[in-house]
Amino acid sequence: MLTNMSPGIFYPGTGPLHRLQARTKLLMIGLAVVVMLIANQHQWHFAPYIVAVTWVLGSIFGAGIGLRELWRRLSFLLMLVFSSLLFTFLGGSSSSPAVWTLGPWLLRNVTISHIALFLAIGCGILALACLLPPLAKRYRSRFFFRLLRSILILVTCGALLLFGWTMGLPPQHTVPLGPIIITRQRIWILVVSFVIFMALYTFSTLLTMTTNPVALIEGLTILLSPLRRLKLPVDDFALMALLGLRFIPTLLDEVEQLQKAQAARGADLLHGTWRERLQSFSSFFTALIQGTLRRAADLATALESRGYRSSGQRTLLYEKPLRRLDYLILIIFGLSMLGSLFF
Amino acid sequence: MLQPLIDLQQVTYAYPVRPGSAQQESPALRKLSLQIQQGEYVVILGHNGSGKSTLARQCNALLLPDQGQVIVAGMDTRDLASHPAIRARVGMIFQNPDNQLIATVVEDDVAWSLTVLGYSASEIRQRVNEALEAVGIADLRALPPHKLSGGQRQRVAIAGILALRPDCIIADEATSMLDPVSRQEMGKLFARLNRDLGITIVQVTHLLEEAVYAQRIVLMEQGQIVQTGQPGQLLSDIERLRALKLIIPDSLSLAARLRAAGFRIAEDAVTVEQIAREIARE
Amino acid sequence: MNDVMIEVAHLSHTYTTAPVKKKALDDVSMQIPRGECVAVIGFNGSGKSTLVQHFNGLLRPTPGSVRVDGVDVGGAQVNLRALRQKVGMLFQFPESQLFASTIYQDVAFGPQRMGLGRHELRARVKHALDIVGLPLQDYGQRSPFELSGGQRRRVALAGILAMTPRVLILDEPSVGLDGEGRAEFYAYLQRVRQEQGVTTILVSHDMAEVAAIADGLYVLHHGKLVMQGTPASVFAQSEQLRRWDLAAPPLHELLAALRQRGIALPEDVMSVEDAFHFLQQTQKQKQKQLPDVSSRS
Repeated sequence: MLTNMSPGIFYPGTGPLHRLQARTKLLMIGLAVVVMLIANQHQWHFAPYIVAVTWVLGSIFGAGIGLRELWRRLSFLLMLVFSSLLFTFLGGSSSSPAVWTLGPWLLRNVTISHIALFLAIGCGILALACLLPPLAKRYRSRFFFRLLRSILILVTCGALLLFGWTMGLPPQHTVPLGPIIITRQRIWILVVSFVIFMALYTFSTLLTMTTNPVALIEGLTILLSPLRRLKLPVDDFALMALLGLRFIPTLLDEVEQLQKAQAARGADLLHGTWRERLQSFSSFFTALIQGTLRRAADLATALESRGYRSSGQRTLLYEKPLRRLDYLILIIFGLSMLGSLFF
Repeated sequence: MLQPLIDLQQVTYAYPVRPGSAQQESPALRKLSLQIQQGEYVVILGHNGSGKSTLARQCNALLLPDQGQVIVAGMDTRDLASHPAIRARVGMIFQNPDNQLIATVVEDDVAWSLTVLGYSASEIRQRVNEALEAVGIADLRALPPHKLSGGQRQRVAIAGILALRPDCIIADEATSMLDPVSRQEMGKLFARLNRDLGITIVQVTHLLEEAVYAQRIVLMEQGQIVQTGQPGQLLSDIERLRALKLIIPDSLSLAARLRAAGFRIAEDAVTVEQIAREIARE
Repeated sequence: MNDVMIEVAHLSHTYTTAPVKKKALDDVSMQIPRGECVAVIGFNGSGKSTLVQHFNGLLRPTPGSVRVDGVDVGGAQVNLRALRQKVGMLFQFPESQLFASTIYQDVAFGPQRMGLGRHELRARVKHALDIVGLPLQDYGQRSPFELSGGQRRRVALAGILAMTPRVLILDEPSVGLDGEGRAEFYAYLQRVRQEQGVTTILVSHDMAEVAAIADGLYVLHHGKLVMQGTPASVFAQSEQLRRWDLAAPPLHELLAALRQRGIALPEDVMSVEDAFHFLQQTQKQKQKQLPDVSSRS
């Protein structure tokens, strides 16, 4: 399961995005960030975002990666961003004028109690149905099934409580619900933050999917090379980044193995007293850190033996001088993004 | 006589004791002398803790002698400036196939040492191709290391050294985490590199099966060399090997018993094939 | 009493972690008798580790079924904790999974979770450490990291034994150990089997080492159970094993080579001893037929 989410997996290919130099792609992302943050200051100015989304769609097309594959990588985070952004609607009042006001709805107690009763009965029946073995077998994913069942039971209990409470109140009294006020500012924030998140996340996913990691690091090294003047260890940084990318899958495997080994010894992060869980947790991390340190020591020896040195001119395998395609794309991208700020 | 490629003279070495640790480490190597000639295939045999890995690490300046000296291709390992040159000529592969690959794709890893040394891109491409062909993994060049089996990863490590066109490859317990078939294939690969490319091979191991392809075996115990000689000579003395805590393959012990019972089995028959031929001739 | 400890029926397993779907197990059925020691053999990626992880509920059998001591592991009501206590599992390089600052604490980790009293806990830890030859009074308060690789591995074994499992699964138990460490580990394992009568399942790609103690072998190749039987019957097929990237033990390779050269070794020759006696006898017979052997050479 963990390997599913691991970042930085490169898909070899020959699409236009693959052919761009890593530097070009990194510069594009940098520029996009700057432009979109500047554009944020100016309300109701959609042009930069429309341009950015167009570029995102264009690069998805240019990456030559299956939409399904991409969706699998993106879906989780996008859902998360989207659902968290929805809550911005429910925030307190704000000074900007309302566009749209929902409610307030005036509900009579008797109506509430009726709705609660219906909900309780409906969910209760469904929850009971979920307990029946024939239906249980239909669901392929047990986890989903259990989740559904617990949600249903929770809703039933809540509805029953609400029903009992409202029954005790005078039936014809009204309770105000809402109002939900949607202001222009909130819509703006919602749209803008969603587009920024989506664009950046998609861009960087596409970057790692279409760029060989070594090329990516070479590109980064070139872009950072002015920092060498300040005596910053750019090459060591590049090596660290490379090792990070190299060992992510290995460490994920190790984590999985360790989890299983400790589960086999009765460790359980989800059950038991808090003390036991904490103990399981700490023992897991102790073993993981020890393993990683051992690996690091081995690796240091191997690096030394393979002739690593942080000085000297190294050969760049992938990063060539920028070609016409790179310049072209960079210029068009830059002009369109910057230009969109003024339209 | 030719100057040896690797020349250890009266080397003594003890691992530094961690401050706070009470126990006194006895030296891992004690006044050890060994000469390895260019083009040899040497197996260093001993159980864990006999000092064989320490010996291997002295040969490419990963460790420096406390006393005595190590001369590699005419360079003294105590001279720090010579380390890059020594390591370019004497490459080393390690026990854990995972912890010595650096780049995220096979061919980049093979190229890695060359890029550090600043070779031109076309030169690198050519050398990487040759090295991958030599170890027989050219078809795996675009895969990430974690998709490979242990044996394949060790081949990548060997290719990474071959790309430097070295004089010598030291394999430090490089097969102990592999399965038997991969282990045999590694043995054959070493023998082939030795024969075809004239590369000196120093293989450190605790497995007798791996020693049978060698030209010379160095037996180690407690930081000293107990005996050196050709496989036929050394591997027929089963009792002695057992006393050195080594596992005796059944094929060798059967041959030894038959020999003791009057069968005429030549001493230099050490591989399964050779022993079978000798027995069948009787 | 049921004499089948583990029963696997039509078990398949597909790893869904993309990019490529991989079938790790393909319709495997087997029965492991109670109290025996069996070995599951296969090359990397043959599915052997995947198979045994079903035995203690780390993986759920879908589709197919696994019954351990009569209990369906895939059943809805299965108590995973009880199952994992009954089926102890030692993973590859178990010494790297030690974590506690003393050996006592490390071995006690598992049994502590079983809700035992303090005396019972101590007695179990003591017994487990005794069996693996690291007595509590000498080793209990030492750090596991002071020990040699082989000893650390035995500490990990003790950590499993302290949970008094009925089934012991060992994944590549000897990889990375040298001759001495390996011999000691197997000697202690034999002792565990004799004293506790546990059903033992070894998972390995090295047949030479399991030959000595396994009663039965199961050979997996690309997720399929391709061969099963006694070590002798499996090793006799050394040609076939090669095709699955497996090597028969050196002795069996030698016997196969001798048969190829026309020496009629019977099937039941299994050890150096047997082979030696057989060869000696055939030579004596030859000498009777040809009194003047010396003239031949």
